[in-house]
Amino acid sequence: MPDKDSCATNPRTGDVIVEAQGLTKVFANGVKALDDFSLTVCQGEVVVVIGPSGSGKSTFLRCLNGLEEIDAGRIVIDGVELNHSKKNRRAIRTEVGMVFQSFNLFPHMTVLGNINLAQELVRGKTRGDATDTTMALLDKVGMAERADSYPAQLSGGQQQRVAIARALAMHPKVMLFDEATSALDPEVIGEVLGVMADLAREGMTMIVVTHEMGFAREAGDRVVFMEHGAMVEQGPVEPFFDAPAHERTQTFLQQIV
Amino acid sequence: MHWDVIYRNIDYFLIGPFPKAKLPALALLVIVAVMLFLALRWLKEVIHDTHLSVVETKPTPMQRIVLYLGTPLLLTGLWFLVLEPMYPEPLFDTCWDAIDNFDRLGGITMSIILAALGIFGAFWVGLVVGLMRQSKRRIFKYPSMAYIEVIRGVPLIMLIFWFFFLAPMLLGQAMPKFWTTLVAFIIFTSAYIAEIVRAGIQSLPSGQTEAARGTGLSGIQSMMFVILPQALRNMIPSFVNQFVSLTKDTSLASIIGVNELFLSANQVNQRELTAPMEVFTTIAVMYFVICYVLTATSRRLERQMARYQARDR
Repeated sequence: MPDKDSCATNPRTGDVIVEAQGLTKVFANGVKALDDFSLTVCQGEVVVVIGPSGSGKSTFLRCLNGLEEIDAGRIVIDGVELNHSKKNRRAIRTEVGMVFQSFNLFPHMTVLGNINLAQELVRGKTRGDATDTTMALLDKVGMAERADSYPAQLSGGQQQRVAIARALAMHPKVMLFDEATSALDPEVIGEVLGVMADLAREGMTMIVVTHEMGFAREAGDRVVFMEHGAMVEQGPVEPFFDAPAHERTQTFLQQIV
Repeated sequence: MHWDVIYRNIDYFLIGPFPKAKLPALALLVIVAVMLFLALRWLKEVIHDTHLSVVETKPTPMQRIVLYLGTPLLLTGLWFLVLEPMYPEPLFDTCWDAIDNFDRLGGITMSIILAALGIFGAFWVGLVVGLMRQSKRRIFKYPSMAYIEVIRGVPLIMLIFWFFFLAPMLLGQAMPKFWTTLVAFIIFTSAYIAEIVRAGIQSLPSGQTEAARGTGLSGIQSMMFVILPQALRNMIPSFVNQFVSLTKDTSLASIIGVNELFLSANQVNQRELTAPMEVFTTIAVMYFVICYVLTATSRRLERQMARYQARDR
């Protein structure tokens, strides 16, 4: 389990940036989505979260971003605690970029408008400055020539790449990917995973919920296996996949690989 | 058949008992209002030369100054340099004369004015009540819920009467009948608009709010820039339903003596006594034309706002 010391001693990573302790989340229908779940993530680390559906992976990401309220536990991101303070909550949301399974682009705005919006409203940038950032990001995800298209005119893979650019436009310190490729056609999954792998190489701190084990092996630093809202096992990528310690992990990996 | 009755009384159908001598002044007022509208639209277009996305219509501070100072200047210029020299009589007195005779205006003109102001007022009041209904804060939520439930539970005709008798008690003097009915129309329709607004907002996928809030937008910002622009478009058909029925309900204003199309027609009918069928057929056509224009306009608006929608959806 990484802590302050192991973050500092690992040459690939920096200080602790995400600290989640004892998270518990019970939904109104009585389902316990998170059960005393803790995770520490170092700067520049790519953590891949896997597990069967309903294991609380997505809920965990949504709690990190303040989209769900936690019932117990503590979340600190880059030194700011996520609590009832509206100021902290907004600060964390601007520092944490989130990419959704269903893209969630704003359909009434062009690609450019989608990415400019928060830069102008939250960061207070002028139209020109925001557009410069946007075009640079679109270039990075290979979507520069579609800046004036509306989301409905794009394919799923293109929409997801725009959604990634939209999250990056706030210069987040942490990026959360909530099954970013699950809603995509098989042949366009690669283009989105490619963009994500590039980000990982550039040193972005990422927490990735995914079923793409190939991506986990290639770009991940650490794998976390969850079930019933709790952590079953975690470890560096290679040993985790080659020799999982826990029996439940072994059966899960056998089923999906 | 006595269609000549209609022909002889057509002016009464159009403007009611409004004195014909004041018509030029009324026309002038309308012209000034149209010019004001066109000037504002022109200025808006000059400033917002692109209109691709919502944020792209945010003017810079300099442009704001031009808009807020330039518009009054332009209109004052129009008034003193163009209209005043052109018109034979003192312009201000003439216009004031028309306004002074407003309570004698009737016929289809009054119906249209009632409907237009009612729609305008009901939209804004309904939007605010609908947003309050959506709020998590009890201080907003419960009053708006009570408002919606109470108003939807009473007939419009009762509301009109109620305001007619309540206003003198509250104000100490009688409220003009025109304003009494207008307030009743706005309050009645806004309760329905509020429910349309609530349904429209709820019908949007929650991912839209999450994506907006997730990038750090405040609740108000995500409502203004992400949720409402999409939701309002989906609400248009329901709005039109409500507005068409309000337009027809303006005929209820006749029961407390507001001289609108229905009352004017009834007066003509009782004066002539020979052609009830012709008179009421005429106003039926007139009501139909107003409502048809309303639905046709909304269809156009809907198409315009749908330009971003999927081609394959």
